[in-house]
Amino acid sequence: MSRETILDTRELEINMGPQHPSTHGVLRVKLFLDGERVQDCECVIGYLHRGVEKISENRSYIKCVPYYDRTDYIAAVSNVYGYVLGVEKMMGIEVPEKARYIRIMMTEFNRISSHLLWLATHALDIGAMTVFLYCFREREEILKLFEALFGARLTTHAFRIGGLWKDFPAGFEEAARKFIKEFPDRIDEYEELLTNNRIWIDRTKNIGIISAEEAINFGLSGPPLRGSGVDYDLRKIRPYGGYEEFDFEVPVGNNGDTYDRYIIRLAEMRQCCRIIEQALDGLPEGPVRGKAPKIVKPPVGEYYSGIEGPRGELGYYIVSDGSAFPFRVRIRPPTFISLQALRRLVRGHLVADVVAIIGTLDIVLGEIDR
Amino acid sequence: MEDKKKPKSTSEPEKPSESTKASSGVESADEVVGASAEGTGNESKEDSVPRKPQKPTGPAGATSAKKNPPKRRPIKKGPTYEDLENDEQVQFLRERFGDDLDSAQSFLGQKILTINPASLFDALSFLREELDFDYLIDLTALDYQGEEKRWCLVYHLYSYSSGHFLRIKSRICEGDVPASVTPIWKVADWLEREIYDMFGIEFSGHPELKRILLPADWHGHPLRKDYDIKLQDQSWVKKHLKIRKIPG
Amino acid sequence: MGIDERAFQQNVVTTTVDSVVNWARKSSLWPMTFGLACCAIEMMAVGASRFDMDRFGAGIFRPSPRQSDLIIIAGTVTLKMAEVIQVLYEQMPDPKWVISMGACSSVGGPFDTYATLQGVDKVIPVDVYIPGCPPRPEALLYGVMRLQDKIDQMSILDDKRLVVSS
Repeated sequence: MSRETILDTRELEINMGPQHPSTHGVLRVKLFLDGERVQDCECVIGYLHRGVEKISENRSYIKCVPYYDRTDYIAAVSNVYGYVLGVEKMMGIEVPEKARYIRIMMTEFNRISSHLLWLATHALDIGAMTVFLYCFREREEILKLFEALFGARLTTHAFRIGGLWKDFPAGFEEAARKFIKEFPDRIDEYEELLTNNRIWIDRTKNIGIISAEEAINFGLSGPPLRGSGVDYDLRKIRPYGGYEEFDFEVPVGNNGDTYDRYIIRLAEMRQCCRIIEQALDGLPEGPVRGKAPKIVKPPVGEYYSGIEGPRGELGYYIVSDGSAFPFRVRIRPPTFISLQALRRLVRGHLVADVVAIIGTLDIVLGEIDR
Repeated sequence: MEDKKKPKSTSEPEKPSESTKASSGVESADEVVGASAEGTGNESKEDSVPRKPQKPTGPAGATSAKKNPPKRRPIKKGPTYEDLENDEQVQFLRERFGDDLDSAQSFLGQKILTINPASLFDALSFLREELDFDYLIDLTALDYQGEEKRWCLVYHLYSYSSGHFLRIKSRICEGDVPASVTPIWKVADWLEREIYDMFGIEFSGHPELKRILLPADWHGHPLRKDYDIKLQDQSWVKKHLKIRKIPG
Repeated sequence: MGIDERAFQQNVVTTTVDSVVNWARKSSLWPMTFGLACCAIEMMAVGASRFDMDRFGAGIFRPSPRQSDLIIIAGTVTLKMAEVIQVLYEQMPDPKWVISMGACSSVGGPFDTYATLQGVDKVIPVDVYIPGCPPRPEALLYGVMRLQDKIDQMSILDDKRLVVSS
């Protein structure tokens, strides 16, 4: 049926960002609209490109670490984990067992705080402002723990090559146990507000559907991949740092839409509590600093060390030429690759759904642009 | 500089303190030169026992040092590149590609295959179609400035069905235009744009090869080794920004 | 304060026009949502319930520059973004103030590279600089309070912006 109208219609190009309340940072999306429906979109990134990979070639191995905090600034603790594991593997440094347990515990706390921030901003974009305030309330508790152990709230420089800098301060374990005892009730609070909420379901079900095969071809990882039904979690497939000793489940979705990814992330938060509890119960005694040289010089070689971050597979490809500075450190950013799929996900949806889809991909511009 | 304990006698070597005990680090500039001249892989050994500069003791001191040479700590070998020709998968690929497969090694358990650039696209298609390597984890490049084959493209592949992880490398010369692998894996689209932006390597067959991280009319490719880290494109700055004079 | 208190019995207060205007301006600063990098997360934390910025009247983050009078540059300013910041600053109506939050926007921070602007004051005039990487939320609140002190010293008869040394 051909549409005959007296109005001459054509495609409208609208700019969204880089200054926009819902783009989670400095992202610019050019939308090509037919009325309210999106025909195509083009992402323009690079507004936060700071040259971190070039900086890594000019700093020693230890001094590179604070820069990686600032790439994915929301998950700064777990960000550094992959790099530190890679360097330790190349140099053959043994990490004490207590340090391994504490590292896993803080990485899981970081996963919870990252998912809380995701939920806060995602819900805020869709319109639920109360969830933003509730999530930040919980997040403050976790940031207090980070500050007690690492000295900083956000960009922590958490792990050193060889272990940790310091052991727990007094009262840390009680505070951590108190948090994970109360936290599952809080997740129930968020679920009560959102999961069966008619508006939430209308805004997120069947939005941004991607099939498993396409997700694999687009190189997705983390919740966007697991939402489509692919059971791939690096903590189970290629365990690193001691994860094989912990017992936890990996939630997997069926439809590959925004609602499934939301359910998966909430379930992941519950599993994080399980891991933290196991870590606290089985915490061994001993030192937390391993034996590492003052000048870190790995042998000539290369290593790809990937971890399961809150956003997907975060990888560090470290190439060493035997000197004190890395030859090349390549950061494999999961969100750079997820954002590429945005073009495929928004076709046919409304402009308001674009906001929901950007939120569900959980992007961080610091990591995309490096 | 590291703290070293005082030597008890001129002929006995002193053990360095715990914090400077190196599993692979070396302590002084001389040893760096010595270590790197030794070739691949063995940098992790401790070359010689570090000691404080000794007071000149004259001929007597020299002969005592000759009589009791400093005891060397056993050399701890670090990880090295190991040859992988006996691996099943590698032999299968050798049969298919013959000499185009330049070398097969492994480092710390990760397999590395170096492939001739002329048959790189065919090899990657083969890996995708026949051996089911459906996940292109990462695609990046390395700059060996000064060598004839300046660039090294690095592909990290993973297969969901078999769980194998593989790294493919390919050395190309400056000015070469490799084929884009976007038809094989859609993820390569932005990854190749980033390589073009940062290194200047162009890919043939790419749907839309333009800069992605730097502004579109920037000159220069930052991750090249001859690009200074603070070098800004002054013509771009003059054209786009109005830098104000700061008062006072 | 004022004359003739006895006559009107605490129902009328006399003051200067400057004091009233400055009091109104400083107590209702409307910032624009302009988070760039890590400092943006701390800015969001300041807007949340533990360090509430709404008690200073500055809690409404406006998405449009036309409706805001304060811009908090929170995060690293790259050359590509500096162009955009200039346009946004010119779109804001007078009187407008700028807080540069964090080390990156004040002087470039740890990123001394080809793509980073070494300080946002190279493209727009800044009123308050807050150091830190990222600054604690309390530091941002202190910065807002110092800005309020600065606004107190403005006069509607002045055309030029005041430079306050402290």
